[in-house]
Amino acid sequence: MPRVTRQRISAGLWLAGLAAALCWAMLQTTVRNDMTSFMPRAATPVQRLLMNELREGPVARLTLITLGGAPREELAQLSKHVAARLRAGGLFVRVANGEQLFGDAERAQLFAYRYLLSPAVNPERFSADSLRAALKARLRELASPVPSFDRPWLAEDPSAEMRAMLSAWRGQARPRMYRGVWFDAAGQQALLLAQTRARGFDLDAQQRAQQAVREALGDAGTGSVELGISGPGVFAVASRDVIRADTRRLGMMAAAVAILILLVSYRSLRLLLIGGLPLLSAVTAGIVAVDLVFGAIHGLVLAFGVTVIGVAIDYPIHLFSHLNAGEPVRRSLANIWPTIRLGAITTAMGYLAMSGTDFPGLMQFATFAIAGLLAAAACTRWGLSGLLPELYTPRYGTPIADYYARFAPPKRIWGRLMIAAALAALGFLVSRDDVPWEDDIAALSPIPESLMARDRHLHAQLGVPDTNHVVLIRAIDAQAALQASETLAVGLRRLVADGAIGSIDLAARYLPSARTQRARRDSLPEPARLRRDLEHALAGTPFKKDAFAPFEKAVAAARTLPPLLPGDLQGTTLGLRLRTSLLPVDDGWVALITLAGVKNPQALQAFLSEHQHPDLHYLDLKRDTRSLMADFREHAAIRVLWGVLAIALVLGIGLRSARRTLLVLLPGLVAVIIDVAFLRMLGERLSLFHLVSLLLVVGISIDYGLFFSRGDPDPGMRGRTFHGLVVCVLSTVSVFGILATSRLPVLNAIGSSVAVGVALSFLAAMLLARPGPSPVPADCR
Amino acid sequence: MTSGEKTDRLVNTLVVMLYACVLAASPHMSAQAAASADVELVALMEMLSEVDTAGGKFTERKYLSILDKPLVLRGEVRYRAPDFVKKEYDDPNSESYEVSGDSLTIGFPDGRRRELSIDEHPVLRAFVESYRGTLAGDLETLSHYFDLVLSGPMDAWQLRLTPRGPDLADYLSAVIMHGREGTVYSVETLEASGDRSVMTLDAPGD
Repeated sequence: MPRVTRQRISAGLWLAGLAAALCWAMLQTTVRNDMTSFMPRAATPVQRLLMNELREGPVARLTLITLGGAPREELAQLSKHVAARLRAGGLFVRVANGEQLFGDAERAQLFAYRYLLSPAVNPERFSADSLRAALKARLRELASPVPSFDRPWLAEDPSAEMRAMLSAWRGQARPRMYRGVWFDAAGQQALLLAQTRARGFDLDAQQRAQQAVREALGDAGTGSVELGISGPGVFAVASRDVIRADTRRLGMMAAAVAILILLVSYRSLRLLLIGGLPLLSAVTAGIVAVDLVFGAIHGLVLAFGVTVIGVAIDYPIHLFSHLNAGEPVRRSLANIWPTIRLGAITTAMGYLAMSGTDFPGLMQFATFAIAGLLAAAACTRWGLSGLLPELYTPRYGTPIADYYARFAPPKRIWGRLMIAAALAALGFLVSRDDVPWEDDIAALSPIPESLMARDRHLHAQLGVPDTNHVVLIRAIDAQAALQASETLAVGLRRLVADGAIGSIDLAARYLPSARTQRARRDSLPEPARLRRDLEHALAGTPFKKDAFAPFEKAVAAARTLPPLLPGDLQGTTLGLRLRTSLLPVDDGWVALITLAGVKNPQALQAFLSEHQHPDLHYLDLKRDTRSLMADFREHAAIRVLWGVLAIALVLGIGLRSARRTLLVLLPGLVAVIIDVAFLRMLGERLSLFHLVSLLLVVGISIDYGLFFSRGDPDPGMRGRTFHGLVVCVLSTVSVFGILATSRLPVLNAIGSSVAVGVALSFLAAMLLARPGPSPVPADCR
Repeated sequence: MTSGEKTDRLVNTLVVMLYACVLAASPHMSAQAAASADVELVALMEMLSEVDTAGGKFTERKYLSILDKPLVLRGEVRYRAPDFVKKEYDDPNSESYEVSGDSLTIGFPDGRRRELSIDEHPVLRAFVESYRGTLAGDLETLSHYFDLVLSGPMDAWQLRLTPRGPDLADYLSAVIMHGREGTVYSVETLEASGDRSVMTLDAPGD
């Protein structure tokens, strides 16, 4: 029966703790995949509005639907069927396919309010001259073989206010029509434009909405029709799916590679199982720590957990490599622990500096890495020795350890060459004064360019403009916001007329402010005057004298109507459309004016600076997000520098020698410089995530530097150290190399830069190492 | 109002009917035996389909409830087999309408033209086919949109087209063609609203 030792007790406790944490991670942790975690946290109110707009604005709710692959006749029928189902389903606030938008009840309500809502109503609108012109126009229409749709209401609405209203509401969209529904220019695909009720980044709701589209098509019983869905919400869901798939795929591949390397290196199932324990501990600790701190973990951070395996695997490898024939495991461990501990703490310090950022995704990264690294180191120290027999030596088959043991360390000239290479790389970097930073959030998206191109094509077909420009107006209540936006829109429409802007859209276009409605109402003539003017207008026309009595009645009725308010439109088509451009915020309301096709930004800028006001904000979504990312990236770069300083400080304390600290740090710096130059030469644009990766490279290189400079007197031990380091670098480079195959730009950036950097670190550490008598002062143990 | 707005107004508010042409209100239609009508209908269509060109000057009267007296419009209509119809008005301020195949081209007084598909709205094609299909003797197309009832002798026949679908019936009660053998000389359109128009081809030499 095995003796109960302290080691065994602590191993048992570790396993129990790990099991508990694992249960927590599996049962308690929520995984989120919302890409907005990877946008910086907004610092200013304008930035908050910007992020809000990106996440929740009407643009983010757009869903473009295409139906193709069947005869046109059938597609037109399907378009109507799908639109009807989606309108009834309640997941979309607007489904447009070219058909009439309003139901009978809503049409009747709007018709009753036509004199308050029509933009054409003004004091001159019902003068004798205007009425005569209107009657003449109507007469021409009556003569045409193609009568207008509003012909049945002619007696009530001779000035065609309903038509004026509807054409003001109609969007820019004017695609080709077939059988009353929209088609693409080639007539091959029916087009639908929908807006989800849910926010664009509410992924589960977006997925439900997309499912509803598939079901609406599915229950029409046509399997052969090709359905296309596009738009921000669709992309967000697709991104999540890529993240999920990549996390799973890369996790499994990385684990397989790690297992393979361990098996080949130590040829022992027992060591494999034991060596896996720190990895499991690292990932579990990372998940639990992030969940405890942030309440959830992002899918990408989980994928990043794979990278921690690449580092955590080093610790048991170092231990196995230093197990000595005839020496108790506990003593080997005590011998190596200070080096492992120093390496783990320095790397963790680097991440600690990173964790103070305003970027939720990065903070999670840092937290995961710190918890994971410390857990892996602790597991190696307190968990493993109790699981190994007291005296244990792994079998070696590799000649590499013997090889290294027999030969002296490389000549200094190689080290100097390495430094010269780093200096040359530095020179190269300095000579290129512009750093190609990638600050475009879109570049972080895993959506393939082909889908993006299709989306742009659909937008063009539907005439849905690219709305990256938004003017936000804050006010104390909805009416004030509507009024302010109406006032501004007057000037903006001039810019539209001048061609500086393609078009504008705002809530007041659908529902004018109460003030505007009252002004229109007050401009309506009294019954007696209207009768007189109408009689004048009717003289000499073939219209019957009393033909327009219903019109006189309608004007008289409109003169007593209270203005139509947003609340009156609840649940109507128009009401739903209002909700995307007139929104309540924490302390008031915001009206959005979206600007499409901005061709002359200078003119727009000049106009807006003339109308400057603290409650008015102009957002160029693309430009502002980019500058937000750039600000943040600069901030993060400074954090990384602090991280390196913190690492140097901890090393200095641990090693108690400036020279040794420098020697241990040097390989990492050399590696990072060459790594960056290399990425630069490949033409890669550097992002935030490269910065984080470089910090990881520095951390790993310190481990290498520490172990290479251990200077064990025993050549056998030196050989085994080297063997351990070779296993480490192979496993790390493999794991990050796997990451570099990800479709996710974030993981790809981390993977490629770390794989290259770690390989360089290993080379630099080997060539620059100056083995000393004792790597870590004895009293530091 | 600019001419651009006018174009948009006319075209975009367009819903439906391409009222067809020709005239000469024949008095009443006498009931005919249904059995012989089918055979006669096929024979009439045969006769119509042999005509390559048709049309001429027309006078159109629109009887609208909102008007004191009918609107009287004059112009010229041209048909060319198999699918070309053009309708022009004498009034220089009026648009011209030209149907060829699936496209409808509207010519504006200022010379601009706008082309659209007669399939933009399902009802529009039915209107076009009521006249064009009759002139072409295209029984299959006509029967797709309308129930057909033929009456009268061949030298003074009357063909009544009643819409089959509810969409079309919302706008149109019936179209009644009058003709003599292979010539259609009048088209009477009865709208669902009760308004009615009659287009009569002027007698040659008028």
